[in-house]
Amino acid sequence: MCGITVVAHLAGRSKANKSAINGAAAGPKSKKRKLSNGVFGPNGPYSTSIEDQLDSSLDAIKHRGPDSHGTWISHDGHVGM
Amino acid sequence: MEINGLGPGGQQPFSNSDGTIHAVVNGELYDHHRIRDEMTKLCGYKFKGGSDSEIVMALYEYYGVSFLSELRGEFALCLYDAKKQLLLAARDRSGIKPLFWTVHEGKLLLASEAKALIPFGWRPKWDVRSIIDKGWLTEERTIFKGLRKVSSSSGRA
Repeated sequence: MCGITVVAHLAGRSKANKSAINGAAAGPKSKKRKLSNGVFGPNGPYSTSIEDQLDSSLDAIKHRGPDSHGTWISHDGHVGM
Repeated sequence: MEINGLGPGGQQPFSNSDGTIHAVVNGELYDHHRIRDEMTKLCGYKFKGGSDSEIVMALYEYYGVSFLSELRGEFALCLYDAKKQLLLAARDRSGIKPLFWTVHEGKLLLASEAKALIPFGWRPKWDVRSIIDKGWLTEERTIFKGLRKVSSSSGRA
């Protein structure tokens, strides 16, 4: 793997949408939050689901190694890579 | 890009046998055949594939955080130990492989390139001071505000 991404929610400091965290762990539902225009907007490719964020992040650096793509997310959705 | 460990056992992220340690590794680790044999003998570690990067899992299980001193190569890695609630990020001593980090909206984000942080809501802004005084060349600072490099030849936990 030539491109890596890791996200970890910091205890006591997270302002992240809790339903997005729980949604990544328990099921597919997640709220979309307001972002700026264009690709970052509500109709763009980025959402607040940690799985979607990781996938988008790895897509952004797939030129570093297109052979494979894998993710792991903790059961509580607090850590993903 | 996979060079060693092209089979399914070489897929990342790596996880240990009880699913409490997970890691992603970018780069190449030297002398992995010898280390693999050593870890198999010393602690009976069962490797899932032939990837050189998987030795990170075995070395961490055996040595703990000091496993970094056993690594030679060009690499950037992140390892998460769920039991200890420890997230470790490290780069090789020459800084050949990149690893950037920032804290955004209560989340620690790390990635091989800055653009990979954009899907998490981070937006790049110029760090003019860093550009003017060349901090981005000599320190942990980068050309973007709030974005840091994991120092080469170091681990950060």
